[in-house]
Amino acid sequence: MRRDLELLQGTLDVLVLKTLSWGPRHGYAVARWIRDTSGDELQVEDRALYVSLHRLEARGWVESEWGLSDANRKAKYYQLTKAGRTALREQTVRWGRYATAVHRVLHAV
Amino acid sequence: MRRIPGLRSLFRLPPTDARVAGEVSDEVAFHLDMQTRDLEAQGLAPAAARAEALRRFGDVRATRDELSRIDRARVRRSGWLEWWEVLAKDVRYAARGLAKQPTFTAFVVATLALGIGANTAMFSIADALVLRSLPVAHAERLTLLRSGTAETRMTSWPNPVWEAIRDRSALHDGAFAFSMNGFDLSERGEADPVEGLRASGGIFRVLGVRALVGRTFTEADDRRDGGPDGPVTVLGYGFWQRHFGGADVLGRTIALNRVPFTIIGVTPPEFFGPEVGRTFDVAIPLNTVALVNGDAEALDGRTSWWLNIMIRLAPQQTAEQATARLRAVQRQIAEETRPPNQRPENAARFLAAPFVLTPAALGRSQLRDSYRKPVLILLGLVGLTLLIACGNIANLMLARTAARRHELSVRTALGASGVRLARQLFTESLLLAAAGAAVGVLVAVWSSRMIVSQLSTGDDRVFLAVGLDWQMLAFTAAVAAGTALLFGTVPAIRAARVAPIEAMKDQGRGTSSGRRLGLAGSLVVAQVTLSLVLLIAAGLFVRSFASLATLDPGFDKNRVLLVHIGTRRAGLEPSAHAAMYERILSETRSVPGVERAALSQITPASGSMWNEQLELPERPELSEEQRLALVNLVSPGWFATLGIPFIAGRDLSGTDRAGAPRAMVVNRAFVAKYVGRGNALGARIRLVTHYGDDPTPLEIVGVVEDAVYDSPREGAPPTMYWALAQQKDSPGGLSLVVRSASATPAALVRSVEAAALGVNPNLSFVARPLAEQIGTTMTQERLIAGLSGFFGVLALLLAAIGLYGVTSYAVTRRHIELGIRMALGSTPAAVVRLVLGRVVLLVASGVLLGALVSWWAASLVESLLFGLGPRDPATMIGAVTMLTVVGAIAGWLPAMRASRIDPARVLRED
Repeated sequence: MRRDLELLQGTLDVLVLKTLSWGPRHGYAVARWIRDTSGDELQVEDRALYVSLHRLEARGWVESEWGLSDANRKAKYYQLTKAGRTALREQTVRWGRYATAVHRVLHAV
Repeated sequence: MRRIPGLRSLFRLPPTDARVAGEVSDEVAFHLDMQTRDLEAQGLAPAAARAEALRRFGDVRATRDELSRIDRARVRRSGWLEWWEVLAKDVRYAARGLAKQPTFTAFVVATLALGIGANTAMFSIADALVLRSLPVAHAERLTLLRSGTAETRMTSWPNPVWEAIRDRSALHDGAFAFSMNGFDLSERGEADPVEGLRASGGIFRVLGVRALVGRTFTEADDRRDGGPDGPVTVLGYGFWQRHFGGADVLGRTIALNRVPFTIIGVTPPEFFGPEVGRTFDVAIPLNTVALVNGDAEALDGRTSWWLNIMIRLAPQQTAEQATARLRAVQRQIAEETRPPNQRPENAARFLAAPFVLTPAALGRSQLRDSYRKPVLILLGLVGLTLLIACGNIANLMLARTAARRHELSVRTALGASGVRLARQLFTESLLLAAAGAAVGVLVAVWSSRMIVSQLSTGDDRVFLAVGLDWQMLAFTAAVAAGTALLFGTVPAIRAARVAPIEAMKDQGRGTSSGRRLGLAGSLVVAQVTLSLVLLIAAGLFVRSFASLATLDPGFDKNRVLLVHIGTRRAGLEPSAHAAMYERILSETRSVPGVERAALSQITPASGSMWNEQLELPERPELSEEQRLALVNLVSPGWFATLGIPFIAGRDLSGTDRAGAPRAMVVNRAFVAKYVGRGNALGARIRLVTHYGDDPTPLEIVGVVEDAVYDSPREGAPPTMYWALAQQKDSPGGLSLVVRSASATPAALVRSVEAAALGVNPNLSFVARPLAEQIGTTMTQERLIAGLSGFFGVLALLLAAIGLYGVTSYAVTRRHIELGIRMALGSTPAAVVRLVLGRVVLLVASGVLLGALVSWWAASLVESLLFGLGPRDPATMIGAVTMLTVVGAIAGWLPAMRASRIDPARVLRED
């Protein structure tokens, strides 16, 4: 059994933001997308994902609306707000710097 | 993804907690279903897929709870924010709409400002006078000591009675005695009066009043020569600010009636004493009154009834219990404080009427006794005026809504909900009401102060704590909200019901509706009704005042000046007073401009009264009260000075002096009541004498016409005029009555006072024209006549405007129909008749209802009227006529406009 990389909450937030940058999705779609795009490496615990979505909404970075899914079922759709887009940009830059710094330390000779 | 049109609640209030939890549930359920479906697609059995989905999710319940918690917090924060934004948008939209119609807005705001302001002002006064408790500790436990039944208003007691009660400390939980009498601050010459409070040492302790600066006086200071600090005084806050500018005054001396007192403290601004309607500038302990008066008569005299006594009940005690305890010792107190040398029958009557304690949380108030009814009635009148104004505004808004029907229907067709439209219109009403209230507060503050100042007359200053305080603001806000509801609701509802099809129709094609009256018409009828009621009330009050003011007082009031001479500090023996007065009189007579001069103890409408009981053994049918006659002491020539004609006999003269047979002049009423047939001249009348009085009878030497003694309302009761020279000295001083040659007696004040000062430089004066003094008896009538007249005229105007507006609008709406009528052969005159017919119906209905209401409510104002009954036909007919005429004019103008409609132009319109 593969050991899935556990995700920190902050990281999950930026991933969710990125996922939504391509358009509105409902919670299940976000989970599927992250799993698929990370090559099934990142295992998102469902409850953590929903907590993240709701927290992002509380901060005003995403907004939600009830709509109909392809299967004509009622689902809650999330989409980025303007503030969310700005936050995504900032967080992406910061994450990149963080990852580079860690990489540098770990691979220092 | 397709959007579902969301359910928006009426005022976009945030979703409830149940709603939030429901949504979270739905979201989680959706996820689990999707996950299950995918797992099934991968090959698992439905039950296994479900179990796996649940396992992957985690703790469902805990997650739901946490999500709900996050959402609830978010909703709470942002929900109200959203609501506020919507409100701001509505307000902005409403403000824009109102700004586009400045005349409408200005008119409505002005009307509301006047109506709300007037109501708030009257309420403020009513509150301060009638409703508010004294601003002291435990006001609800305060009681006032009265004598006899509630009808007898006697609340004054002699000092010995007070001391007897005070010393029996077991009877009460604190008690004090007080009297509100002024002081003279002047050093010499013209008096400088200030409001005064003379109170027993315990007053501040019982009322729980602490000094703002320094200290208040206590029982230790309440001694005849002053306490350890000598004679002390406490200043009222207002006086401290006005007179000393709030400077440090502790230890300074102030001269009260030319006796030096040391200032030891200042009371807080909200404390004005135990009497509502008065305030005090300086307060002194009761026993130091001996210093101020120059003698101890007020303190030792057992027949000087001048103190009010307030008693505080113990915490659980009722007034009845305390009264019972007091009455148990009443006989004892009567024995201790009985005046000496009393005749047996008088002795039996002394303090016979039982003590009564009445609740006094509202303080004692003569002002309230006189003004309670007028103020409440004025409050009612002013409320009616506001209702009429609201009716006008409602009609205006209805017309406005109708005029905007086109716009509103377009918006409805585009998707606005009726509820939203109603809300927007109501926001307009609220905005108008708020603007009106804001200006109204200013109106209220100004007019309440003005009305209170109108209540003050001469040396009878009235003080009421009206001003901008939270009660006034709260009342204003409530009234504003109420008026907005009144005139805003119906137009808003109408707006909501506008159907989109109206957008397709043109305006002006409406014919007259089937109903004769309709909402606008009913409003106008109501307005006319209320206006008539107001007009009749105003008419009654104005005529009352007019008859009072033009009543012949029996003397010539316009050319007479009164100068009261105070001799306390003159430094003369009482026996020398008579000679001094003689000299003053002769000096005054030689002042240029003085036609005549005389002296008297009492002047007309001075507020003082002196009566004596006659002994008429030949008229046994007359009871004791019926044998009371008024007395005045006058010098020779007094009647000529005042212009009171003689009917028979002679005036008092120089021969009527001490030692000579006692002579008196009586008035016509006296003769009619007591002497009956036969010649009054020469009749000898005995008096019921008291301790040490002269028992010789008085001989009637002259009869004069009736003249006002106390107030024109009382008329002229039987009066006796005795010779000054034949009486003992009057310690209170006498009044100079001066008749001037010119029409302005006030011009003589300086010269007359100078003449008197020439005789003795230590005299003090209070000077007033007689006309002014008589005027003080009519203050209440003058005030209510003025105010009700103002509101009556205002109501008339408002009703006329309302009538005009409704008729004009009806004509506009029907102008096509009227044009067609005229094209079909109707004459202009017939059109006018058609329009006026409706007007007549409205006015007639209103007048009828108004007359009925006035008839029914008439008894409310009966006690305030003078010279006419509350159902006086002349007044009612006059009011009806005025209203009808004004209504006819208001309806005539639109009718004329209707008659000038050009049928050809109307038919061409499309």
